[in-house]
Amino acid sequence: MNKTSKLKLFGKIHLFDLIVFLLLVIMLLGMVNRLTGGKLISSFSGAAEKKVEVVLRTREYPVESLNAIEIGEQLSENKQYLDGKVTAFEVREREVSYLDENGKIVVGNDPYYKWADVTIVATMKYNEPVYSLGKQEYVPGSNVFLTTMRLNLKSVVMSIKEVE
Amino acid sequence: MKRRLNIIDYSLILIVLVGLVGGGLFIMKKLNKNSESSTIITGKQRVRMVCDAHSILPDIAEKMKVGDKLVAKKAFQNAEVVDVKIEDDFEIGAMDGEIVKVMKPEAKYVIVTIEGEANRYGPYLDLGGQALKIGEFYWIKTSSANLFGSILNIETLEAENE
Repeated sequence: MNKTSKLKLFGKIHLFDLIVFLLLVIMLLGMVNRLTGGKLISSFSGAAEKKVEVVLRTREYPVESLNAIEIGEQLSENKQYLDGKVTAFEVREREVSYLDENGKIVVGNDPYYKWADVTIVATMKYNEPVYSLGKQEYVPGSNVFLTTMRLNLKSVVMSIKEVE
Repeated sequence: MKRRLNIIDYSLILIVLVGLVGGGLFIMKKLNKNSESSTIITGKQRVRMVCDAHSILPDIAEKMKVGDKLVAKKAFQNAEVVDVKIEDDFEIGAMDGEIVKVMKPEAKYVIVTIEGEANRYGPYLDLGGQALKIGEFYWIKTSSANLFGSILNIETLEAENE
């Protein structure tokens, strides 16, 4: 038996060839997964696509920023659009409490910072028991960013329901 | 010496072919999708944005002028200040049983409107290396003043140039 035959598996496949082959397969799968936006991995993980309606409540922002939200804006993440849109929004008063000059607690609406309830409809991945869109998970109480081309507003998921 | 292809060579050729065909199909699919609805637009996008900055020293606030060009990365940017409003800054507090804005004349609240050309890649806009998103912080920097603020509103003004 010569030296080179010792490096062969079953006497046929060269070990170096096998390593190169495996690396190429991994690279190919990685490339396909990236090009399909992670669909390859999610198909193996058993995630299903569901159309859902989510209500988000933004953190406190100046009312001008909240009034700038536009119905129909497409959701995005980094430099990619996501399959979801803003379908409705409502600016809400935000109650705050302060001590006045007499030491009394005063409760009232913040005259500057408000909240907004924003409804989005999106096609999300559902991997029981969690919905996700892009890199964000949507569970009531989760902190997420409402991101479109123009917006990046810190928000909390208030409710989520399937619409189809 | 005659060289023969072994199973690994065939596998490599197969993988390369699959990669090429898969990549081609994906690009075609993406191009078709783009032409139908959500075209990925890249290039320059003219924008108007409103930024505000709190707790600014009065002398610094006065230096922000209409017509000043934005500065970033040690160079003027293709964007300029088109409007400046300077007001007394405020805090929220309680007085006589009511929630009120308590004015702070020792500090200024500055609202700056800027028009310029942003770089666009799909849903991402940036100007002078800073992302443009309502709700995000933004350094309003000219050659005369540098205010740390945030973006209140953004409008896209016209069709994008390729």
